[in-house]
Amino acid sequence: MQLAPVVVPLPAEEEPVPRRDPTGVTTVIDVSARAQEAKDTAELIASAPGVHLQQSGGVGQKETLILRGASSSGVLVFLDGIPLNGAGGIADLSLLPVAMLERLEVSRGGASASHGSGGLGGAVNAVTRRIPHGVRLFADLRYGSFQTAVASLGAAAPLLGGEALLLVHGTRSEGDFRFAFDPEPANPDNALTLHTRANNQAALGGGMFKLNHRLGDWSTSVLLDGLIYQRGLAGTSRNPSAEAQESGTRWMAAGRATGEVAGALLNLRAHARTDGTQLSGGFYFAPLHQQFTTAGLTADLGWTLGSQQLWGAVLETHLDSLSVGAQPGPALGRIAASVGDELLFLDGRLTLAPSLRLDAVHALAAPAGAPRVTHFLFSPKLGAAWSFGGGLELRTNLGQSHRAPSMLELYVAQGTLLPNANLRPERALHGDLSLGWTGETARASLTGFYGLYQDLIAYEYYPPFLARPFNFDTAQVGGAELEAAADLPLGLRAEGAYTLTFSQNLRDDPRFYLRELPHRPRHRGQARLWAGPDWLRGRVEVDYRATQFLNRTGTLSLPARVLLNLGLSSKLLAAPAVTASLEARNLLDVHTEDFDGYPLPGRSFHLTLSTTFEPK
Amino acid sequence: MKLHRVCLALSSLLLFTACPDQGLICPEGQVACGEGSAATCQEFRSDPDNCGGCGVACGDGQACVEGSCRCQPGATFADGACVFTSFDADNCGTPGTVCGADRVCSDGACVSACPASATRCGRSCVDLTDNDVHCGACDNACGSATSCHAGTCEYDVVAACSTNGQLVGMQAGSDLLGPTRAVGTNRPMALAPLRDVILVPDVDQGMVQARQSDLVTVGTTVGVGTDARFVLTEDPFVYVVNSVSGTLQIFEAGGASGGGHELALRAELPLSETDQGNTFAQGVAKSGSTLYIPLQGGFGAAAAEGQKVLRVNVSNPSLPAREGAIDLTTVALNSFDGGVTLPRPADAVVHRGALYVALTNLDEAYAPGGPGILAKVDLATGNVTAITLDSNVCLAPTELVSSGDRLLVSCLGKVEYSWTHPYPIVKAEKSGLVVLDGNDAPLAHWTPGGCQDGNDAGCLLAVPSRFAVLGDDVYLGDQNGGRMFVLELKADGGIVERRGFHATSGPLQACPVDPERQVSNLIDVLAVP
Repeated sequence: MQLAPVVVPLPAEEEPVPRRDPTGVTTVIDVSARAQEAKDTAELIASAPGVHLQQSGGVGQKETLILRGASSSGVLVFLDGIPLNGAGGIADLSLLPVAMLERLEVSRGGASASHGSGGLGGAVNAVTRRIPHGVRLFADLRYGSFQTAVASLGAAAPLLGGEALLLVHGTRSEGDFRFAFDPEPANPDNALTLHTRANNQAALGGGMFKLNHRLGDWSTSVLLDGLIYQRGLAGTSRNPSAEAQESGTRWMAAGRATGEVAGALLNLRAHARTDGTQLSGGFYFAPLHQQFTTAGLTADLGWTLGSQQLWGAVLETHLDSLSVGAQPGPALGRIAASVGDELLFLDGRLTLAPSLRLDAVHALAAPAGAPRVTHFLFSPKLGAAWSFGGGLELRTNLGQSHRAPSMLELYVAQGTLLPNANLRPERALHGDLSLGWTGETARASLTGFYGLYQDLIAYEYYPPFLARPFNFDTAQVGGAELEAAADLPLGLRAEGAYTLTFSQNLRDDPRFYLRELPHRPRHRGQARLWAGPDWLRGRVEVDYRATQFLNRTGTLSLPARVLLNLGLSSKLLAAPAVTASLEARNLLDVHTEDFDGYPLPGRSFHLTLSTTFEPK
Repeated sequence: MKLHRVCLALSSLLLFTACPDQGLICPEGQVACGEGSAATCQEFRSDPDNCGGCGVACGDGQACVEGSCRCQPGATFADGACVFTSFDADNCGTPGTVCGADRVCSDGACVSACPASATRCGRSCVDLTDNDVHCGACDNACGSATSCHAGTCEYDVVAACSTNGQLVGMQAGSDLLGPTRAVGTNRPMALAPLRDVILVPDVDQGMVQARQSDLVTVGTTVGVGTDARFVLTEDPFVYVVNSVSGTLQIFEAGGASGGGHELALRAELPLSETDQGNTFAQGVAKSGSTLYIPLQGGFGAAAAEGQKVLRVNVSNPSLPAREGAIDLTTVALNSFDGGVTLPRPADAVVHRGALYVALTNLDEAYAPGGPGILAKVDLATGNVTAITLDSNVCLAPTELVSSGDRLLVSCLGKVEYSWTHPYPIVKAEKSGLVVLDGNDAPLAHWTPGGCQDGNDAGCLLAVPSRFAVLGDDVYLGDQNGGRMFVLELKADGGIVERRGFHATSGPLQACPVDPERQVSNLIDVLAVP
């Protein structure tokens, strides 16, 4: 992991997201450096401070993020700048295989000024594998507990005058781990029994193709992605489902062209994505099929004004539509314009970065009788970065972010969940202050953050059978984030991240007033230590999460837990490069649950083999 | 640099757009009185100390009714005051009739001494066991909407407002509502009597005790499971069925503690013998030392966990034991369209020596797919016979109450939500109350009435929830509009509506409706013994 108060500069042809935030607080996670760890994408993201992961338990099962206290629908997730959030505003990170990725950029703090509606807590950009120069073949194979197999095979080569990369990947797992079940949950003294998770299997396969090409002075790239998956929906430990199934597809195409026009750098991007989801069995007595399609065009212009000012402007348009079964569903159109300035003072040591974005969200199609909503969202932000020398830097940001209600929340009834077209957009006023230090062999940063949220959306019981989303008034979330990394003598390397979070409901009736928000643990920390030479390098990781409340009254909670992971890697061959790695996860076999009753796996073991071959 | 100044100014201006409102919001039906940190939530509808406004107190003999002070039941308004002519020596028999200095007022007459059956309070002769002004002791007046029960002021009927997290008490006969009172931590799920308190399990998995006299929370809270919607009390034992947790808990009540009673958990019993799904228990009945717990079962294959009534032997409350189940799949369900339906039992009651089980008869979409049926179980032999309810008046029977020879059945009916904005309940048909006689033959039925199309503006359809019987009166809740219907059972078997859409006086708005959510779930009703 690179701790990066300063955003890592990227090669121009690989820059997928030109809208970088010059004063933002960002953690960059080098996925390729951690390829030997038996982790999925969500678990890697969760090694950044400010992140709280919500898991359904088991490889291939749904995973979402809470970032700086904003719920998963308030965290934007991108793949090379292409939005991955679905019709419900949430991105399922289990559908983003690690094999596709080069690095993860976790931008903490309100991101609507740079990325638009939905960035209440921040944004995560997953950057796909870089295309290496020349010809290269690479493969990874992992096998482990619960019959879990993860494999990927890729090839890079010159193609049509450019450079291309083709990757295929697959994952399957039975997910049949043992978990501790409490048959008498209200009895504090009874013994737990061991149950086996059933209908928790998952299978996922897909491919990715990238092509970078130069057309005259223009740099262009194309990304094609396809994915098919199927998984059992095992339900919670207390309400298991032996039959409920989810299957789906994702097809995505994106193109980018970057060049200079009249002295300005112009970046044009287009993308289209369609996600199909089918739910059946168990609760879904009648199969439910949803097809979410989104397409967008973005023009991003940046130019330098003298030596001390950089201007940027973005125009963006999106069209989202959803069909449910054979019925055409709602459609939302989104148009956004933003401007950003970057002003340098004190010989470039002080940067001021004001920016402003306006999003207009309009329902182009809505169910009969439902109003076609229109929301205008103003998202200003003012950031500053001050470099003091000696590797010390101060960053601060103040801004306002929004999230327009999602299509599902506004218009689509799903099972027992009703929509509510009267929902207002969520809003957040946010600020942070970060002090970072970067030395030759070590880095550290300490960040304080605060967010004031308004009109948060949550589902509430709607008798006699259903639930419906409503706006809740006001809440605050604040805290601190600490991250550090150091290369130590004797080949040791240490990394750590800690997050302190306070949350509070600020406007409600006496049942909920001044209570903590659920699913926001007060403390979360991770520490990792590597040791040993390349031919036999060990690692140990400790992951702590404090008690978290499960309901708005603060009367039900998940207990704190500590997980311990151990790993050992060895470079067996140099050419072709072959690396083997053995990992023991949750070594102490801690039985715990997440979210609202999904058991997590106990102790497991995984063996990974990786190879890379470069013909001379 | 003009350009960036404009940009900075614009950003700064918009950064600090309106900050969100903060502070306490009073629950539905209540209004803040006072300023700042001294503000408290008060109810104007029926609070005699804040009747119609902050600090507006009703006088002696007055009750607060719909926000105005009126004479209490039994009192007469005369010369600007409410007087009790049956025992007030200054208004004895009629207002203004003053008994002589050496005489007392008894039953509206001036007499020389109180009869032996009465107690003298000042110059009044009263029965301390049922006098609302001198209850249990002289000058111990019962508060608004409470009655004197054997010398203790208590509500006659209590309703649980789940949406609002409140309880509300009521006086029988006068149908006066007391002030709403917050209870538990979140949403109450059920009500059950225990000595002088009411047990109230909460959706947050705690069961609190509320004093029957004023509904104030007392004693300690004990932990229960998820969805503890069914509580049966048989002093000193309390049986709690946790529907989602799938367990039965048995508590034993001990001595007084903190104004309530100690409750010790004796046992918790999983209701399923497999881990293949949840039983979704619905209801609990007891005969001898056996509990009968209907199991509704889950979806798909997990439906097999239900469709039966579990027998649990509780002769040793610390060691309850499952003793097999009564199979309900043998009952002919006669689905309307020949498709598959399941019994999906919703409640059970022991009535005239037999066990009656309400079968909702639902299809796979959880909608009524056949007539409502009562499975009548011979407790000696286990034989099951079916009583089919008239599908023109009752679908999906959900609660049973035994009242003498009569069996009362409430029917949820067929509830349909609109699938267009704003998604209200648009239809609730074949719902209401059915009365069966001692031969299980229908005696009468009642439907809530009111507006019939939930699409109409302001139409909040009535959807029956649970009900309680007090004497010959039935108090039936509405889980959509928070209303209470009051019905009178007549000797000839008929039903007369006292408070409802068919009566001169409409239903009681026991639980306030949240203006934003437009729903109020009156989830349970208890007739205080």
